[in-house]
Amino acid sequence: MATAFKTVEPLEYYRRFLKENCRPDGRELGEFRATTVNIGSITTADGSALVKLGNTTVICGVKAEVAAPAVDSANKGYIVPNVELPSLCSTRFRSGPPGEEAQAASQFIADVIENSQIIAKEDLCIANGKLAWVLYCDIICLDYDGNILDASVFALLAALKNVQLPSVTINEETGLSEVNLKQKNPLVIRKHPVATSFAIFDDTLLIVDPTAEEEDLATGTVTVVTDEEDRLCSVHKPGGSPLTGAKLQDCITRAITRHKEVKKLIDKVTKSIKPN
Amino acid sequence: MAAVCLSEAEKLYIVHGVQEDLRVDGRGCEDYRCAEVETDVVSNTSGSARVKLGHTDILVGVKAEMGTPKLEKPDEGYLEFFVDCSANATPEFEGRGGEELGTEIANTLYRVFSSEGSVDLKSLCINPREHCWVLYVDVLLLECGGNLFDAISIAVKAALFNTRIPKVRVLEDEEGSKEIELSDDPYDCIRLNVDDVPCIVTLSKIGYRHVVDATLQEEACSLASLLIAVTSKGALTCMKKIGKGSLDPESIFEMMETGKRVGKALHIALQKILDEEESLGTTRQKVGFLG
Amino acid sequence: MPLDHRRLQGPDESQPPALWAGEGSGPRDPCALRPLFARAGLLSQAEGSAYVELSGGTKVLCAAWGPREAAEPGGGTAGGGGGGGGGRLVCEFRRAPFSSRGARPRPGGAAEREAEREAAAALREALEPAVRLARYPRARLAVSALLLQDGGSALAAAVSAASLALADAGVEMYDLAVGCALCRDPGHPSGAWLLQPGEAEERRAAARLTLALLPALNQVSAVLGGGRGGDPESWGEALRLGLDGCHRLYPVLRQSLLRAVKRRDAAHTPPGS
Repeated sequence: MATAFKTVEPLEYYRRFLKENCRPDGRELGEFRATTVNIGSITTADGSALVKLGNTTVICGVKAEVAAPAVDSANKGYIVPNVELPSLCSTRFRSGPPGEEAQAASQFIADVIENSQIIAKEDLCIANGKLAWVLYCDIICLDYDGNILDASVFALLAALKNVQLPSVTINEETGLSEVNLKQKNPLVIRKHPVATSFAIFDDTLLIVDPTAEEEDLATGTVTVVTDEEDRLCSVHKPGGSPLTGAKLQDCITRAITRHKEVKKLIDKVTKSIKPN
Repeated sequence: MAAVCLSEAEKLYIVHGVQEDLRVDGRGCEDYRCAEVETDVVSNTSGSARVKLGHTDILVGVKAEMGTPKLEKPDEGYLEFFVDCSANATPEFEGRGGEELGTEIANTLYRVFSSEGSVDLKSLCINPREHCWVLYVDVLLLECGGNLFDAISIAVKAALFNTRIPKVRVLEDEEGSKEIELSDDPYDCIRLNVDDVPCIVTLSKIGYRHVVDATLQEEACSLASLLIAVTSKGALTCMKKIGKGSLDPESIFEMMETGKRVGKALHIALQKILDEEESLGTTRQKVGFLG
Repeated sequence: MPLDHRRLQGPDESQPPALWAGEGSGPRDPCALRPLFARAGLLSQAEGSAYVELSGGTKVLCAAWGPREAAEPGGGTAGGGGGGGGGRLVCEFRRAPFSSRGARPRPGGAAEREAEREAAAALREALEPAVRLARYPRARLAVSALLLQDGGSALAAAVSAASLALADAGVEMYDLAVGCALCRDPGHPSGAWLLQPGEAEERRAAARLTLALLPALNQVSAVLGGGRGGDPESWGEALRLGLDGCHRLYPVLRQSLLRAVKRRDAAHTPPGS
C-alpha cells in the first residue's frame, strides 16, 4: 500500500514523513548517512581513497606527473580535478564524454581547491620555471545515490592526504631531473575543506545529505564548504528556491558540526595506515 | 559483413555436405577457392597487390613515408593499417556503414603484425629517435564474397613483398645537423623480407567439422570461427575466435593443426607466384582490373 | 591536440616521474593459480553488479542491466541469415585514468577510445555464447565494466565480473563465462606458459593469451591470443593450462553468486512479513 502511494504521489509521500520531522529511511532531517572511508587501495595511483556515504560510492585516484609550469606562473604547479559519472553508477547517465552534471561537479571541485587553498600551488614547484608537479585527481562515482559533491570533496581530501611524492631534484650541471623513488614525502595539506549539501523542500524545509530520490523531489540544493578553523570556504547554490539569511546561517552551523565529524574520521583512518 | 538469407533447408544441405567432406562448389574441407594474385597494380604507391579469392576482391596499397619513431621503440619503424570498406562491395557499406567492420579488420591486422619478428622493423630505421620509415598499408574491400581476413592477409603479404623503399643516406654536417639525401637512381631501393610475415587462415565451424575459406553461404551456417595467423615455418602468431557461438576445446586443437597445415601450403603457393612475377620483371603482362 | 571542452585541462604535456620502476618477480610455479576475490550484488543503482579482484592487484567492477527496449532497430550483423530475432548485448569497458602504472592516459583521447572499443568487442565476444539472447527478442542487455587497477589479466577478470553481474541481474544464461589469461615469458628457461600473469610479466611477455570458458558445458566462448607462441603444440598446451585454470576458478564464482543471493534474500525479508 505504501509503495503504491509512493509511486503515484512521491511528493505527498515525502511530505507526510517530513511533517513528523523524519525521512523514509529513518533518518532525522539533520542526520547524515553512515560514512566510511578506505584509503590507499589503488596501488597504481600515487594516492587513492574510496568513500561510501550510505549507498553513494566515490573513488578518487591521484596521479602525479611532472611538467613545465605555465609561463605566467613559473613557480606554481597544477592540480587538475575531474569528476566522472560513468554509466555504471546509475541509469540516468549515458556512456560517452562527461555530461552536464559531471562537468558541473568538476568545476565545483576545482573551485573548492582554489578557494580553500587545500594545497598551495607553490608547494608543487620543483624548479622555478623549469619543472613542477601536476596532480591529476580523477574522481569516479561508482554508485550514485545522491549527494555526490560531499562524497567527492571527502574522497579528494582523503586521497590527497594519502599521496606520497618521490623527491625530484634537478642536477644543475646536466640540467636533467633525477628522481629518487625510495624517498617519498607526503603532500603538505594546508586546509581541510569539507562540503555539506542540503536539499530544499517546498521552499522552506532543509534536509541534509539528500539521497537520489530526495534530490529529484527537492526544489533546490545548497552546498556549504567549511574548513577546520570554522571559516566559510564557499557556498554553492545553483538556482532553485530562494533561501532566507537565517536558513543559510543554520546550514553553515550544521556544516561546521559536520566538519568535526569528518575530520575525526579522516584522522582515524590516516593514523591506522602505518607510514612506510 | 554482407548478409545472405538462407532457408533452413539450404543450411541443412550445406551442413550435411560438410559432414561428408563435400562442399557446395565441390571442394574438400581444406581446399581454397581459385585465387588470383597480382602485384604492382597501382603505380603511385611504393607497393601494391590485388587478390581475388572467389568472389572476394581486395586491393592493398603500401606507401612509405618518413616519420618519427615511437617513444617506446626509438630504433624501429612501424606499420599503420587503414581498412576501407567500399560501398562497391555491398550497399550496407554506404556512408559509415562499413566503419565497424573496417575497424575490426584493422585491429586484427595490428594484432597479427604486432608480434615481433613478423616484419623486420629495424631495417626501417634511418636515424634512431629521429627518422624512420612508416609504412601506411591501405586495404580496400572491393567485393565481399566471404573469407575476408584470409584474402586481406594474402594481399598484404604480396604488397609488402612488392614494396620498394628508396635508399636514403644520412649526411652529417660539421655543426652536427643531419641531412637526408635520397638516392638519384629510382631503382635503387630496399626490399622488405617477408619470409616471416604471417597469413591468416580462418576456419569456420559447421556442424561437427570445420572448413577453410568459407563462402558467404557457409559463413551463414557457421556460428563460430577461429582465426589463426600462421607463418611460413608453421608457427602461430595470433589466435582469435569470432562469431556468436562457442567452440569445443577439442575442435580448437584440431583447427590449430589444420590451420598450420593449410597455412604452410598457402605460404608455399603464394611465394611461388610472387617469385614467378619477380623473375618476369618488366616483361610481365599486367592484367590489371580489366582481366 | 584538440581541446576537450568537457573536461578540465592541465598542461599540454606531462611525463610520469619514472617510467616503469619494474620489480622483477621471482620465479614462480607456472601452474599456480593465485587466489581470486569475487563479490556480487554490491551496487545499489544497477540491477546486477560484481567486483572481481585478482591477487596481482587487478580490480574490476562491473554492472549489468536486464532487458530494456532496444535503442535502434538492431539488425543481425554478421551474416546470420535472418538473425536479429534475439536480443542484443551491449558492452562497455572503461579504464580509470589512474589504473595503469605508467603515464596517465588522457581520458577521451582517440587511442584510449580505440583501446576501450576493442576491449568492449572482446568482452561481447566472450559473453554472447553464455547469454540466452533468444529469450529477449528486440531487447537490449547492457553491461558496463570499469577497470580500477590494472595488475595484469585485466580482460579475463572483466569477463568473469561481467558474467557474474549478468547472473546477479537475473538475466537467463546458459552458464557463467570464466576468464583466464596466460602469457609466455621470454626469460623463462623452458618457455613455459604462466597462468594469470602480473602486470610486469604481461608487459615483457613474448606471447599472450586470454580465454573464456563456459565450464559446465565445456565450451570455449572466447580465445584471443597473439605473439610468438610457437607451434600449435605450444598454443595447445597453453589452452589446456588455461582451461584447467578456468575450471578451478568456477567454484569461487558460483560461491560468490550464492552468497549474494542469500544476502539479498535476508535483506528483503523484513521481520514479521
